This record gives sequence, structure tokens and C-alpha cells, in this order.
Amino acid sequence: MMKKIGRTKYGITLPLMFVMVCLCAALVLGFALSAQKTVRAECGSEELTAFLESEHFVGETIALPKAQIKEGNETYETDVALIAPDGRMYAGNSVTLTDFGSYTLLYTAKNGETDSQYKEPFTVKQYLYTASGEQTEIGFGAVSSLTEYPAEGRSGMVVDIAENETVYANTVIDLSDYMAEDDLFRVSFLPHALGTADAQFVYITFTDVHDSSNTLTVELRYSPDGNTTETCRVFAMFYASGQGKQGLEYMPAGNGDFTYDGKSYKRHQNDGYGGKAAASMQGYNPLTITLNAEDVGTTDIICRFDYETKRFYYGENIQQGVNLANDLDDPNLQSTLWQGFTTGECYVSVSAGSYSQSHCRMLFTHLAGMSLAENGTIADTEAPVITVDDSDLAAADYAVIGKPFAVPSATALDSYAGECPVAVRVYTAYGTSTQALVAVENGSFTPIQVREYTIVYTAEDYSGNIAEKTYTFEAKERTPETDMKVSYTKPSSLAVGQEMDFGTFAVDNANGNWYLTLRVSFGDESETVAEISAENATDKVMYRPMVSGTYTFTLEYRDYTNEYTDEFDVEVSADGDPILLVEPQLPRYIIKGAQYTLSELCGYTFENGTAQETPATLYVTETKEYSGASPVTGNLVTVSEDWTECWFTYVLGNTVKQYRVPVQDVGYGASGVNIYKYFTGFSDAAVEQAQVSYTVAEQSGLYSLDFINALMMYGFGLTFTVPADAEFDSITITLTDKDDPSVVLTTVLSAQSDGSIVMESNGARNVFTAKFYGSTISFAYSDESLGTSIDGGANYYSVGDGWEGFPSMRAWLSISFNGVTGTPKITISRVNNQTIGYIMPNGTAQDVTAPQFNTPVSEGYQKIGSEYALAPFYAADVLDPDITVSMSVTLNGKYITSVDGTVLQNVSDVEREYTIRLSDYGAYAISYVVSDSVGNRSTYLYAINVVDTDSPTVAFGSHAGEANVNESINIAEITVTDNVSAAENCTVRIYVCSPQNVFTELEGESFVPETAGTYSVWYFVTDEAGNCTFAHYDIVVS
Amino acid sequence: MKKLTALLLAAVCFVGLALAGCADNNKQGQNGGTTTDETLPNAANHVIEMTETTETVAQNGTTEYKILIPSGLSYSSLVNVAARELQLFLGEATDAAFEIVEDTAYSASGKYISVGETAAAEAAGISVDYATVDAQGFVIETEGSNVYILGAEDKGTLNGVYGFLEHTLHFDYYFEDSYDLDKVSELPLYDYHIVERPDIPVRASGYGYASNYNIETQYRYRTVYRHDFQLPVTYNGKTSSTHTSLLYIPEAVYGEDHGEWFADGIATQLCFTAHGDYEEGGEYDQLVETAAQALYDNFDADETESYYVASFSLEDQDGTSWCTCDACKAVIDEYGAQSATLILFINDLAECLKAKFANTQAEENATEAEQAHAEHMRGLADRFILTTLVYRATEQAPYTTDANGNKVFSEDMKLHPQVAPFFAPFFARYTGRTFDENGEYVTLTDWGELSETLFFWTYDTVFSNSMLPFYSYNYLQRLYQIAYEEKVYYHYNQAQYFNRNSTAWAVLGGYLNAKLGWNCYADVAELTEKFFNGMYGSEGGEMYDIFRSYLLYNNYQVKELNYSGGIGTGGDNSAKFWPRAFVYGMTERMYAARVRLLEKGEMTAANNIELELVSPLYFLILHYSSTFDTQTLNGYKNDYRAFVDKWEINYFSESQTMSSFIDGFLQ
Repeated sequence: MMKKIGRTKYGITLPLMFVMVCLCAALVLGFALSAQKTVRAECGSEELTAFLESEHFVGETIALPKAQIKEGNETYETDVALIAPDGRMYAGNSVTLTDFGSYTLLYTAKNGETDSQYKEPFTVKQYLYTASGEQTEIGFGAVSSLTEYPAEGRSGMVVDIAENETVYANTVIDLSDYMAEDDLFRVSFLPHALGTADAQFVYITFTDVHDSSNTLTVELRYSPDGNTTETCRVFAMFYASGQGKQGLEYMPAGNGDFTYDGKSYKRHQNDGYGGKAAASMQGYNPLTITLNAEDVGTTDIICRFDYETKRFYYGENIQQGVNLANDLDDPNLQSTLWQGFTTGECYVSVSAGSYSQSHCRMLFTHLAGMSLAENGTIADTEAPVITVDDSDLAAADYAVIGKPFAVPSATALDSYAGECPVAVRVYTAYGTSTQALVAVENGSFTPIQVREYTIVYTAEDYSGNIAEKTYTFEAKERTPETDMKVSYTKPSSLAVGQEMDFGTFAVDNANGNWYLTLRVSFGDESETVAEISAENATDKVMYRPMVSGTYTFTLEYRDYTNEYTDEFDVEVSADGDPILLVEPQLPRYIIKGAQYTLSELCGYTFENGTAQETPATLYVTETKEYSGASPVTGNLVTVSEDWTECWFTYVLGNTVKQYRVPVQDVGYGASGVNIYKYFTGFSDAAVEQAQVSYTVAEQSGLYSLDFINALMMYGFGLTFTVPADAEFDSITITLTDKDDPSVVLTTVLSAQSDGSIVMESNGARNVFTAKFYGSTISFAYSDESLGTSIDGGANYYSVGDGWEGFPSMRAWLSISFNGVTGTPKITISRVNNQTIGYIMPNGTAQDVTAPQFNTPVSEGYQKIGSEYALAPFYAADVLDPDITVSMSVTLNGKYITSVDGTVLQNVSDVEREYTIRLSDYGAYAISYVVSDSVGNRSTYLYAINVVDTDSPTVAFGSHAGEANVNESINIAEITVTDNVSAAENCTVRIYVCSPQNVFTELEGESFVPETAGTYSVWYFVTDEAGNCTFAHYDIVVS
Repeated sequence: MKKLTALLLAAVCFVGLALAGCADNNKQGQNGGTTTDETLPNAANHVIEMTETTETVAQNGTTEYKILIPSGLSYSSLVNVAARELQLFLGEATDAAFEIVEDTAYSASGKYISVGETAAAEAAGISVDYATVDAQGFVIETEGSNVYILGAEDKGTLNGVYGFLEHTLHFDYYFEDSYDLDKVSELPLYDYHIVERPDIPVRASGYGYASNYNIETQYRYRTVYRHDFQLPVTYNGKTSSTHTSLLYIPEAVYGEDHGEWFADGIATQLCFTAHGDYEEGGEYDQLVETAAQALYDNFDADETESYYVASFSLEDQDGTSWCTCDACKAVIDEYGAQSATLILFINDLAECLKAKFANTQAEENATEAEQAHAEHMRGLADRFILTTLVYRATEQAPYTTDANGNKVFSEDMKLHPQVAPFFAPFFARYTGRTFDENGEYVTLTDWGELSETLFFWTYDTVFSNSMLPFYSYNYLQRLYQIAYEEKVYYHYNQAQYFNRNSTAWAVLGGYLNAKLGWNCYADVAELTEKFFNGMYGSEGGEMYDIFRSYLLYNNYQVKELNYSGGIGTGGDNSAKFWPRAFVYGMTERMYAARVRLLEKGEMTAANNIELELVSPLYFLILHYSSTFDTQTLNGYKNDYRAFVDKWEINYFSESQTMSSFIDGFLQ
């Protein structure tokens, strides 16, 4: 029969349990002992001798053996206490041992009869495998000798786990070097009733040695018997703590719903399946689907794990070997990525759930490389690992005589004992015959002479393994020559609005870490200009005064040795030149003849030494020369001349900024435009009715196409065909925000070795079964879903963390070609809702497509009286930069005024937020009309529903609280109050609830109780909007 | 939640209360529906007499008592389970450690609570009469300082332990980790004379949470798992304990040589007349003999020797078609219902099986175990019950009418004493009316005219939608009383057996079913209030109030909105029946109660509310998504998914898994 193994738990996390704890006694005893000297004396008894000769194991409850101290002819009775490996002391009759390692019995004479003490160490061992309860059995050896099954003579560890119990492997295993070909476990099932699974779930859990909340779980799942088309299966889910259950089921026929590394899988989440292994919890031969005792326990489930890639592999005997079952740190599969165990070290445990029998029995032939031949004991031979805090170590390079030197902090981590206490001592002449101990107070020691001081850290684990780590520091006298020096550029006087340049701060002679803070004060105000340490020492420090006057700068810096302060003034004169600090938002291209609306560019002028915001003057010219040109009035710009480029010149006083913008003639304004010209950068464009094939020109080593108008990103689409013989290996689609060029979404589409498409958007990688070459790809991006797609938006894939969309909701499109081997060619058929091709016989296209826009909605019911912020509205037309938008907000046909006083009737500035107060019930209608310059028009409407969702309230009039059987009871009159409905328009239904909880609707105003007990009168009141309330009171009938 | 109701009471208070209770017509025992009210029809089933003695069972966390069990029991035997349950709850109530010992360790000077057929019980003359308590009842007696808990069968002993805890410590079990149990510093010894027999002798729980998914709850509800009661049969990988006839008589095995055994006009049914070949040794005799032998063999293979009930039932589960051969037609015409052919056959089958049991002999050189097994088989001759579904095709009992329109039940149609028709009134309506207001009630009484033993299969859920409350609250008690009056031996109220846990007040349903099956005259309102306090802790009153609001609303639904309340009416989930204001109000009240519980650290009660929230969340998401902003709606959706996952509500309906439903629903 199998051996029953006692209960245990991981010792490092659980306190000792003991039958009779007397903490007070232990504390008192401990205190008393500290004042006594420990004297080697003779102490013993037969009971103690027997105890020490016996082996002791974790989980055992021991009676502390009694003994007597003998001194000469005197014999003293003793008190006994137990010192556990973690140093805690216990007194009492018995103690349950929960940690393995070195224990000590401490004997002290009763009543202070003698001050002799006696210590007797002993060792507590731990079995390799234990169970959490008494009913589980663990056996080792041939299955035939442990069970009724022959199992082809196989042997291993047979566990028979009782319900609600768990089998623990108590030795630490290190998964950090596990690779894809390494078995994590091999298991088969030995059901108690052939044909019936003992349990529906088996959990194999790996728990971080140093963080018990960090776990990996393989959840094996029962599946009904196989049939003629499917073998018997054991499904499995794989997940780390914080992750959802997931398992990839390999579909060799390619009919899965998820492609990964070119293979087809069914991706199981939140369902009853998972990764698949040909096996049976019921004892079937999984392949022949027959039930024979001879087959039981002969087919292993294999699970493998690659720690570096965090991938599980599962299920040999499926057609293609052991298959990928999950990747725990792949963002394509996980919303929360698993980062691994603290050190790779972990424990493993096995449990089961949903039992149909009292026990669940299985055979392990491999379990994380541990011995399965016998239940040996585990030994901890590794000392703890001491880690000294790097930042503390860097606090000083040497000690200074007379200055307290903080001893760097350290921690020690042991695989079994967890975090161990670290003892720290400081010596002079350490390791020599003259070594001397130096006092450490409040975590510091103070050197008193020039010499070396050695800090010695030691830590001991429960099994007596000791680790040591030393650091030696030199102690010096402080001299001015060795003090920290800081050199930097002090700005001289300058004009207001100009930037002060402090350059970088050079630090010399710093003793360890150093810190620098530059503050400025002006009048009553002060601010920190810069905080600098070694990490950002190369940053330049700048400061721009915006008001003339005297600025006082204070520089504070410090290291271990000392603290220093410098202070200086800088005079700022009032004669500053105007400045332009921001960049204008200009179109990337100008379409000849189209009207652009530009925002004003403001800078600062300094009259009387004070900054004043002032708009710059704009000139638009063919060349950089703008003298003689007329400034632009208003904010509308149109370039109608045959320019190939134009210059935007902003002038503020003597300050001038100039920008070049190419001009493109697409025939704008004519009845038909050359639509293919909206792309630039091609050497040849073959225009067809529904598409344009571009041969892309080389420019400065790049092959790229730009679209010349900003495009809507709410639902961006680009449809193109990659030729089967394309002479490039990938395409990059770059979308740059129209107003903020720092916001860029870069998507690279390329082919895997098997030709299937790989899409990487800002680094987020997805692989598809569709082919790259010869395919028409409908690339899409949505600012709503923040994802990209290759199927026109049917399925979006996340761009990745940190991507928040395009602030202006419009972007410039560029397409570039990589790995070009010849002449890159591409056929483009659609951009957003616009066909790229010709429509008219002359090869041009008439713009008949209305602008696009985002579609704000109002979600849910809004509360009466609340304020509601209307979402900004953005629109853009693929071909036309000149669009107009008009917004109105009405309730019952009347225009609404926003809280800032704007009457929301045909408002054109819609990219800002308006807030309205919802003062009345009803549906507020928000309507937009969007038009381009040739009259293509769209409308959009949504509603804000302000609905009465408040229930009426009921107040009772006077009513009886007690009554008698068979006597009529008048019910209470009630007062109904509702926020909208008049009381008379509310519906009131009255029910009497009997003591048996039977509700009867009451027609009149009284009722006669027929039995004793507690009756309730219930009022079910509904207002005109359908809001209801229930109110009741009780009547005790006797 | 463990409701330690007497935690703060001094022992003397408890004793005083107990004494007062005992003096008041044994009201001490009145907890959870037991009764000694002699005016009730079932008084003889619940004889509870307890008098406090001066001795104590446990005091200040110590006890001299040990729990005594027969020696040699397997760990999984029900008596062993009973002892462990007693140890667990007695220990929790008294803080004392009650050691379990086998009766080989019995000492005359020791003090014991004896569980099961111990030698000590036998020596003390404590016995139990099967005729009095049946298979699941028990006696509790005090003899000297020892207490004896004993059933005629192991299940009765297990039930006896719960009876002991109920009458002594007000134990009442509602749900996982939610039960009542007094906490006492002193537990007196009572002089017990308790004899209890459940009103419905065998009760199978129809709720997943109280059946095979959770054996502890099944035990503590004192119910059985239906497949553990009826002998299952397996053929070609298919196992059933209900629709069984073609598993015993597979057409693949017998079809070629005995085509007459199989029905005309319907593919999956036997012809119970064997096409009229009644010649001695003819097809009919062979069919009876073959079926009886198959049943016999199946009992013979039962190593547990615990089964005494087997089903031989129609196969075509939900159809009404029947064999159209001339012989069957003649029988149907003569007796008035399709079930007539089944009755004639099943009676012959029972008699043949009885003879086989009676004639069982062990081999000459049989081992002791084989001889004991043979004796067991012979014992089945007088004990076995053969049940057969009277359902859909065979639901109507056969009778003719005389000239005055009175029903005439033929003697030929009287069922064999060991045959029990298993009546399953598929079309009865349980919401908005009581069972005896259904036409099926008459059918039940018709079958009562024909049979001494009845099995009863009723329904307690909407099978097409697990989210719908199937509200049977006001019909349950009368249903059980009718079952008791009609001498129903076995009752199975089929609810969401397919779900590990169920929402929509189903836990209350399962609990009340368990209590009423034991005592059909129990005070349902009192039980309900106890349940809510036990399940929801300090929010018990609020949840009870919400539930009663629902009861009122259900009354309104049925009477004014024509709510169907049928077991297959998934359309009852329409917005018409579940207006936003009602559902939203119920949801928010539950959420608020849950928050208050979490703030107080009442985690179990808070968790229990999560299970109840699933149903109203379903209606909110189904009908009123557009009335919530995205954040609120996603919160509801996330909670719905989380609660469904956490509570393992596995099926949206009897035939659709939750996993195939939920993604689309929450999209």
C-alpha cells in the first residue's frame, strides 16, 4: 500500500503552529535568558536521549522532552523551550514542526535554582513530497504494485489526492533554464472507476519561492469520451497569476481561428476547452477509444515549458507532436504579460477539483526533474544570497574622519528560508590578527583614523548555511583639496525674452553620489530651474526670463562629505526683441486653388520689459523673399498661381520664421480633378477607372509616396494591391498627426518566409494567413478602436500600450517601400471613402464624395439639471481641404445656449468643446452639416436623452400595527410624491402579503386576516415614466 | 457565512433557553421545519423528544466524548462521512476536539456519540426499524451517558447526524460556507428520543449546486443525486439511469433476430407487446426474459450493493409517438391509453425479475463474499423497485368511463407492487398557480389509483434560459404536500441540474425543496427568513425585502402582463416583463448591499449576492444597454462575466453552454 504522508506547508511563509502556545511565557523566558550567561553543564534524561536519537520531520507534533540539569551532586528540574530555525522561541507542552532545518532545545533550571542553561540542537527533515491532509496517498514504484492497473510495468509517483487536499513538492526547482524541449511534467490518469474520471480538473501549480502571489498554473480539464472522429482528449488551460485562462488548440487542418507563427489554432478563452492532448481522464485508450484496464496509465500527457519565451507546449500524440499552448508574455495573447519568477525558483503542487470520487489518482513519470523513485528528504546546502543596495554603495567612495558613514543596507534571500536576517559588523584590520570591531550606531560608524574599514555582512539560513560579503572603505581626512567642486557658466546680463544658457554643470571631486539644485527667485516668486545628479549631468540648463529685472539664482550641491551653496544675480534688461516660441500648423502640401484656413501664430513682444502675446504677420510668397509682398489678412490662404512651392513667412518685429510648402496642381476647382496627382513621389502613374498603378520614384535613396491632403483618422482606410512580382520586401505606412508632428503611427507590412502578411504597428506585431505578394490589402486604422487592420476594419489589432490616437483626428499619409530591388510598383484603389482612379472619360474624377467626420454619441440616460460637454467634432474631405461645418443643438425645436453664452445655432467652430446644461427632460438633438467646396454635403445627428429615472416616494399615513384575526383592518392612506408625475397620475397597486408570503392584490381599503401572524401591506407605485417603487409596513395579527 | 448565533451568550443562558424550550412541548427541536405538532398529518414522521440532563458533552473547549463508528469502514462510506461531519460541526460549535474511534476501541468507561451500527449500539439495544424510518430516516437515543445515532441504512445515519446537529445546535445549511450553528461554551447532554422519517422517503436534488457538483451540500440538504439512486446502465458508451429500455435491449444486438421487439412508426422505442406474439416461449416471453436478465445482470454487477431501484423506461425522450402495430392498438383501445401496453409489460417484467432475484444461489465452492452477494441478490426480491416513466407518450393513466362518466380503472392495469410509475407532468404550470390547479394533478391521482408506489418528477426552472427566475415559491409547499398525500416515494424536482451554481433565487429554491421534502408542513416563511439571514448576513433583511418585492412583482407579471411561467418559455425574458425601473432598482439595491457587506468584511455574504446579481444584470444588459454610459455598461458586463465565471454558471440554457453564449451577449 502507499504510504500516507503527513500534512505540511511551505515553511517560509507560515508561522509555526503549536498546540499550546504561551507567547507571554516565551517572551518572559527570552527576556530572562538575555540576562543570564550560558554555561555548559550536564543536562539529560532518557526522554531527551530518545528524542535526539529519533528522526523528526516537518508536520510532526512533538512533545518537548523533559530533562534535568546536574551540577555536582545537585539535580535541578528544568523548563524547556524550543528555538525554531527562524529564531523564534516557543514554550509549551508540544509544538508542531513546520520548517525543516536546525532547531535547538533550551533547558533552564526552574525558579532560578541555578543559572546554568543547556542547549541541545537537533535537525528536522522534510520529505520531498507531502500532502496537505491525511487522506491523500503518495506512492512510488511500479504502478502494478500500487494500483489495480498493470500500466505496462511502468513506474513513477502515484498520487491519490483526496478532495480539498493538495500534494506539495517541497524542494525548490529552478525553471530559469527550461527550454522548449524540456519536459515540465508527464502525467497519466488512473481512475478509481474505469470509465469515469475521478475529478474534472487537475491543477499543477508553480509558485514563486519568493513571492507566493506569483504563480503559474496548468489546468487539466476533463473531456467527455472521444468518438469516431475525435480521439479522447484532455484539454488544458495555461495561465499565470493575473492572467485569464487560455489554451491554444492546434488545428492541423488549418481551420482554426487564430494564426501564430504560421500555424492555425483555436484560441480558447473562457470556455471549457484549451490546449489538447490525446489522453483520457476516464481510462480510455485515447486513440482506439476503448476501455481496457491494460491501457490505463500507459499514455502520458506531456507538458513542456520554455522559460525564456514564457511558452507552454502541450500534448504529444496529437498529430504534429507537442504544440504551442500559450505564450505568457506575448501581447498578442495576453493583456497582462507574465514577467517570470523572481529568480526562476519555484515550488510545484498538484490538486484537483470537481470530484466524482473521494480521490483523484494519477501517475507522474516526470515532474520538473525531481526524483520520482522514492520519497526522500530534501537538503538545503545553498547559503543565502546577500545583496547590498547599489545606491547605498554609491553614496560615498571613501569615509571621512569624524563623519558618520552610513553602512549600506543589505538583504539576504534564501530559497527555503526566504528573506534571512543580515548581520552587519565593521572592522579595522579585518582578517588580520589585529582585527578590531567598530561600533555601529543608528546604521552608521564613525571613522576616527586614516585606515581601511571593512563592512562584513553575514546571513544564515534555517539549515545553518552561512553567507558572507565584505566591502572595504578607506577613511581619509577632509581637506579643501578633496572637496567637491562645481563649475558652470554664469549667464551675464541679457535682454528680457532671451534664454539664459547655463550649459552643463561639471562636478569634480564628488565623494560618491552628488546632487545639485538650481533655484531662481524674482520678486516674491521663486521656482526650481533644474535638479541634477549623475543621471542627467549632461543635460543643458536653460532659463528664459519673461520680465525684466534682477533674478537671483541659488545653486545648492552636496555629496557625502559636505553641503555647499552658491548665489548670484543676473540682470535682465527691458529691451528684449520679440520672440516666436511655437511652430505654426501649416499644411504639408498646398493644393493649388484650394482655400486653407490657418490658425494665428502668436509670439511675445516686450514693451516696458513685460511680455505681451502678439500675433505675427504672415506673408505667403513664391520665394523666400517677402519684401514688397502684402501680408495675409484674416486666416484664409489660397495659392492660385503656377508655383511649385510657396513660402510662409511669419514676422514679429525683427524676428522672422520661414517655412517652405510644396504646391501641387491637381486641377482643383475644375469640373474634374486629376485624382492620381493627390499622391506625389511617383515617376509614372497608370490611371485606370478604379485604381492607379504608381511606379515610385527614388529620391535621396528613398522610395515613397505622399498624399497631399490631411485625412480623417476616425476610420482611415487605404486599399492597395502588391504585385505578385513586386520588387520590394515591405511597405511602410506612416501617419503623422496634422497638428502635432510628434504623434506618428508607423505600420510596416511585410511577408513572412511562407509569404503570409506580418503587420507591425508601432512595434505591435500580428501575423495573418493572407499572402503579401499578389494580394489586395485593405489597411485600416481607427481612432476609435486604436487599432490597425488588414481586412478593411473587420478585425482591428491593438497598436500597443501608450498609443492614444491622433489629437487632431487627422493625419498626413506617407507610403514608403523598403528592400527595393528594382522598380517598386503599387496599385492604389481607395483612400478612405474615395476611389483613386478616374471617373470621367478624360481620366479625371469629379469630387462627388462628401467629407468624413467622427461620430460623437451620447451614452445612456443623462440626469436632469446636469451639465453635458459636447464632444469636439472633426471632419475632413479626402480631396478638398476647404470644408465647412455647422452645428446646432435644439430641444423641442428651440436652440440651446451653452454655459459660456454661445447660442448653438449654426456654430462653425466645432473642434472645441461646448458644455450645455440639461435643464429639461427630453431628447436634445445635436446636428452637424458638413460640406466641401463643391457642395458635397453630409449631416450627422445624435441625441442626448434626459429621462426621468427617479422613482416616486411613498409616505404612510396612520395605520394599525397590531390587529386580531377575522377583524377588518383599514390600510394606511399614502402620499405619493414624484419629481415629474403628479400624484394622481401615478399608479398605485396595493397588495397584502400573508404570513406565508402569498401576495394578494387588494381592491378596497381594508382586509380581514384569517390567520395569526405578520401581515404586510405593500404599495407598488409607478410614475408616468414607468419608474416604480415598493413600500410596505407590517401588521402583527394575533 | 457561519452564523454563530449564540457566540455572546453565556452557557447558562443557553441552558436556560434550552430548558425553557424543552418544557414547551419539545419546541427545542423546532428548527428548520421539524415539528412535533401532533395535529399535523405527518406528525408520526417527526417524533422529537429531548430532555436536558445534568451531564455535559463539552465544556470550555474540552470533551470526554468520542465519536464511535463501526470498525472496518472505508473512508468514503457514508457512516464515515457522517462521523466526520459530526466531528467538524460539533468541534466548531464547542471548540472541543471530538476524536473518531472505531468500536474496537470502545471502553465501557468511555463516553461516546455512536454513529451507525456499532457494537455498542447493539449492546445497548438500540436498533432501528426500516418500516418506521425507511432508508433515509433515523433514530437518536440516549442510553446512559452515550448518544446513539442510527439509520436503517447508511444514508439514514448520515441524515441522523444532521438531525442531531439541527435539534441540538440549530444547525441549518444554506449554501457553501453559509449555515447556522450555535456556538456554545457548554453543551449539555440531552436524553434524546428522536425518530424521524422524511415525508418523501427519497428526495433527489434537481439543483446542480446541491447535487453531483457539490456533494457536501447534497449531504447537508439530506438529498441524493438522482443517478446515485437509480441503477445506471451503460451500453456502447452511453450511460443512463432514466431512459434505459434500449440500453438493456439494444436494437443493434436484438434487432435482427427479434424485430418484433421494436416499435412500428417510431425508431427509438420498444414494442411492449412484441407485436402480439404471446405464444409461450414466443417473442413477448423472450422480451420479458431478456429484459429481466439484463436488469438482473446489471444489479449483479453493482459492487456497491447500494442500489435497489432500477428504471426500465421509454426511450424517445420528449416524443409522444407510440408503437402503431395492431397488437398495441388493440391494447390501447381496450384500456384507454398508450401507457396500457407499458403497464402490462412492466408488470410481467417485475414478476420475472423478482423470481430471478429469489432464485439466486451461490456456487457450491463460493467464497464468503460471493455467498454474501448472493444473499444480497435474494434480498432484492422483496425490495427492488422497478420504475418506468409515465411521461409524454405514456403520461395519461389508462381508464375507461362508465355510463355516468365515472372513471373505471381496470384491475389489469393495476401496477405490480414493486413497480412505480414515474410521473413527469411536462406541461404543468408552476408559476402563478399551485400544482393542484393544474390538470396534471388529476393525472397524478389517476396513477395513484393504479399504483401503490409513485415516483414524481417535477420541474423548477426555465430550461431555455437559466437567467429567468422560475418562480415556484408559492407552489412548492403544496406540491410537496400533494406528493406526501399521494404517497410519493421518490421525488425529483428538476431544476438547473446542468449548472454548477444558479442565479435568480435558485439557491433559495434548492434549499426550500430540501426542507419541504423532509417536512412538507414546515413553515416556509420562517425558513425563507432564516435563509436570507444565513446567506446574506447583516444584509439578510434587505435581500429578503428585495426578494419579496420580486414576489409581488411576479404576481403582477402573471396577473396583469400574462407572464407564462412555463418551463420552456424563454420568451418570458422580454422587456415587457422586465421593465428597466424594476430591474435597475433591484440591481442597484443588491450592489449597495454588497458594498456594505464588503465594508464590514462579510465576504461570504457579499459573494453570495454576486451570484444573485447575475440575473438582473442579464436583463439590464439584454434590454437596457443603451440607457447606460459605456463605463457603467462595461462595469455591468465585466461583473456579469466575472460572476458567471466565478460561480461557474456553465450553461445559459439546458442545451447551450455559457461559453457559447456570453461573448455574443456581451459584445
